[in-house]
Amino acid sequence: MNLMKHYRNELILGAAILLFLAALLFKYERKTEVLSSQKQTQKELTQLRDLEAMKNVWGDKGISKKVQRLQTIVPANKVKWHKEAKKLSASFSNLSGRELNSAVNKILNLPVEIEQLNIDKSGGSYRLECKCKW
Amino acid sequence: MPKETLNESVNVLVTPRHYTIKRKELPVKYAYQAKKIAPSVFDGLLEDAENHAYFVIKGEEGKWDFIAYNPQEIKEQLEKSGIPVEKVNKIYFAQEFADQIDAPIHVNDETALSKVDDTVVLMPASALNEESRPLKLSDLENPKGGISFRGSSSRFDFEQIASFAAILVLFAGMLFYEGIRYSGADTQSKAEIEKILNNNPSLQSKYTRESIADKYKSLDTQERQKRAAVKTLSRMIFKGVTLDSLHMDTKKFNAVFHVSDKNMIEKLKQIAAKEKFTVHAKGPTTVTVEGNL
Repeated sequence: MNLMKHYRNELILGAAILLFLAALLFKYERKTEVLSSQKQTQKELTQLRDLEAMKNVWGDKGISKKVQRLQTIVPANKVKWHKEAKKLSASFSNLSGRELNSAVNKILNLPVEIEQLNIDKSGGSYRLECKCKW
Repeated sequence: MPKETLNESVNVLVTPRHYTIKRKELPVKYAYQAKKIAPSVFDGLLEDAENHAYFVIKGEEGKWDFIAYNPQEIKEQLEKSGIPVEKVNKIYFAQEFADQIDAPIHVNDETALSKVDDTVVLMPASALNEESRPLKLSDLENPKGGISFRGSSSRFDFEQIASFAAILVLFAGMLFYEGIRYSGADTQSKAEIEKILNNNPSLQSKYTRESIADKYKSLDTQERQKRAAVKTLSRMIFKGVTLDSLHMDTKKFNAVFHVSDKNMIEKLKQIAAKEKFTVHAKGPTTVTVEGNL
């Protein structure tokens, strides 16, 4: 008891310093914990956003309709169209440069897996063949 | 002072030999205010003022008794007398007993405490009137004041330590508060995750999520490569260059360009080199560009 009394000032100071250090440690632990959790949450959010975006693009249920529009971009007599389930085999012939450009752009903008894309020039016109699935 | 051996805590009376007293009339009401100006009261009077501490006693009609003492000197005296500092409960200055000293008090055989002009002084016992009835120390009642070394031998006094400790506790409180405030800072992101998962229940499961990610990521990468390749090839078509053929499958592509002069071949090579495509010149007007996907 006397010893405690003897070192009372030191004990008070020591206790205050310990409390301060504990608070400091608590703050930094908490900060690290929250930052780590935030980082994890952000990572998860980024993954989910990417996934949602990819799912919306490649898993779009309206792809068939979008693909169907490809058939009408050039006159019907220039198109040979074979669509089965989620697969398309299309052949465009006698295309002008502008028509070829338009058809290729349309195909590239469709969220489909291009299996084959062939372009051949004969004379002044082009022939385009495309096989894709979705 | 004779050497004592103590088992219990004691109160100590300090005689005027160990302190300097000065009476002054001041327009202050509280002791802490008087204590603040105490050093200036003794300005120039003390040889080692920086080693002194101060004590004040409130008198009548705005009068204050200022006492300057050297704590270290008192501690040394206590040690010399065989009184360990930790055994000292309270230390009283003789002046605090001024009201009670109406007759001399023998401190030892040679000296006594007496009162002159309301100031307690130390005087030779031989100078006392032998007919007067001397008081005993035990007759005195402890006044309210006094000082305490609090049993600590620290070089800092209690007030300094307490102030410093209070500041540390205050900072500790602030740090705890800040630490607690850190929680719940990421609610916005969590809410967005919740929203995405509600819109896409299939993404709830981590395994399903990974499987979907694997499926779409490779597809996305591959398809983007194909489209980027076609766009690069289309950039190769400019005045003097026409496309003869393009064949692309899931693994590779091959494009044949017709150029009007040799200079165009170099330009095509430059564009192709940026994309790491292979360029072969087949004759003066035909160029083949190949690449893997």
